[in-house]
Amino acid sequence: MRGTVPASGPADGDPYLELRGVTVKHADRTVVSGIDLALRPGEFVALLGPSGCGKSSLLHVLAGLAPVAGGALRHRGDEATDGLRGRVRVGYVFQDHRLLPWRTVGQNIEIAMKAAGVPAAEWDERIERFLGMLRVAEYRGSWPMRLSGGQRQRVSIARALAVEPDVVLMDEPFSGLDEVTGRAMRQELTRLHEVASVPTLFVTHSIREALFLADRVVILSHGPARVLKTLDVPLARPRRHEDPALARLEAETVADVLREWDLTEGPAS
Amino acid sequence: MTAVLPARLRKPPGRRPAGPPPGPEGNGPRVTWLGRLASGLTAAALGVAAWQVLSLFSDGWMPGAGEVAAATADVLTDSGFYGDAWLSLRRVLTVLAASVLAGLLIGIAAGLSRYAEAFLRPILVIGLAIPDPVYIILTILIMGISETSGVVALVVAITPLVANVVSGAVLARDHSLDEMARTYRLGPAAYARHVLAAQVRPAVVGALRTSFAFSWKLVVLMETMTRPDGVGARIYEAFRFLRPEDMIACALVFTVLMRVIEVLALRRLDRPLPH
Ligand SMILES: Nc1ncnc2c1ncn2[C@@H]1O[C@H](COP(=O)(O)OP(=O)(O)OP(=O)(O)O)[C@@H](O)[C@H]1O
Ligand SMILES: [Mg+2]
Repeated sequence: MRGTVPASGPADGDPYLELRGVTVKHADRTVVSGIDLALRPGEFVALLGPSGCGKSSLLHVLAGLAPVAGGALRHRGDEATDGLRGRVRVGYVFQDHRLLPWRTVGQNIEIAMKAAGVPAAEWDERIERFLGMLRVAEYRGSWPMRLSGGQRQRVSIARALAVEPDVVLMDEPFSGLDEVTGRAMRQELTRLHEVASVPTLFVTHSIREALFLADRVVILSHGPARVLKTLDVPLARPRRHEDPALARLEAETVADVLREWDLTEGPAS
Repeated sequence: MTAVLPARLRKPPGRRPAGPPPGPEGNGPRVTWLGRLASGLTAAALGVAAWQVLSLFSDGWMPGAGEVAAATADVLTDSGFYGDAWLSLRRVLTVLAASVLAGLLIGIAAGLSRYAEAFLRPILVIGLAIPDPVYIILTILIMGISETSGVVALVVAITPLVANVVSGAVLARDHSLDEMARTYRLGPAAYARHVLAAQVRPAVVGALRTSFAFSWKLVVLMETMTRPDGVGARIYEAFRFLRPEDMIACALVFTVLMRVIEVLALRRLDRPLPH
């Protein structure tokens, strides 16, 4: 298993998205401090960090919903410090679902697709496909508030994927799911990513999830988040949840992370 | 009625929901339709009785219930009254439409932009504090007595009311949905229609209700002060010729008319808007 190259190999040239010393603040409080990170074209990167370390805040800034307090963002080599939103189509799965409660599940996805310029002729098929992929097809005509939390989150994922995104940002999309559904969803997401190769930043605090999904895992410190370590996941694809190599890797990473996350004052490691 | 209203407003609008949208109609013990009618009639009967007693003590200045009833019958059969009522109603609707439109625009601007808010807030506060007849007098001083000046005065009087309610609703909107809309690049039209409208709608319906009630009362006031025609002018004439029973009858009939319109028209608005 060691030395196996991830399915989508690193491409040469400019990374799709590059963070250089990105700092994020809420008012005067620094919540992310000096993150360096590169997301290559077609790459799936997991951001792994303890609760409250600033992962969601960082995604907000990358999307362009909040200003960068320090450092720079580059998109394909071009200065993009005001975030991705104005440049490319972003599929963003927020940590909370953010569906319009007064529109049906189907309408919610339609509204996003329309704004993204997806041709109307494709709407129907896309809604069916993505809702089906996320096992919530039968709720197409329902009000979002009639769905369970996990179902709403899956609709929100369907919306992010249906807009033909150029880049996908996901903020703990599977945290509300039971183990079995979560596995099925991760499997589907991997399969989709193999087909579409959309660069993806995936926030999670589940180590196993990060290792199962990602080409690379970026481990963050307690808040304000710094990059503690970047791990190229040495597992061949397709991956299986039952793979003992995955379990072993998880154990190693847990040991690593425990050492790091235990310390509130981060020493240079 | 008041108990049913919030539940109605909470219904999310939509064309093709699979299940009925959540909208629990009160589940506690309810007063039956018949019970309501009986209580209403009792209240009315008590009112009439009190009226009669008061008129006996007023040395004949106040007409008795019988006289008022007779005057009401006269008003109802007088075709001239309907002309005046129609005139007043037209003024009410003009004032209502203009002030709701202006209030909506100002309210949305104040709710969306911090700068507009800072600029408009003091104006709205002062606008709300000024007594309504002052607007009427001021516009007469500026524009002279005319059909337009009366309408303008009332629009200026009612607009702050609407703007205030609307800006409150816009300010209290769900900002996380704004972020969603920005991320998915919803244009201004799509944002207004899909994100903002549903959040502002209950406030607008409320503002419409209040503005309607205000505008017909103020139109009558304005007419008594400045107009030769309309229900207000009729009331003033009856007052000048010391015919209190006519005055009361006019007011009564017009009030009932306005209430009927309010109930019929605004009940329609409580239903989800098509979109
Ligand atoms: N709107 C805000 N205003 C002020 N502080 C905020 C705001 N949002 C988050 N914070 C603070 O920023 C820090 C990082 O929050 P953030 O939501 O980014 O963490 P997170 O890593 O996503 O956590 P979790 O895994 O629990 O979702 C927290 O300490 C939080 O208190
Ligand atoms: Mg978070």
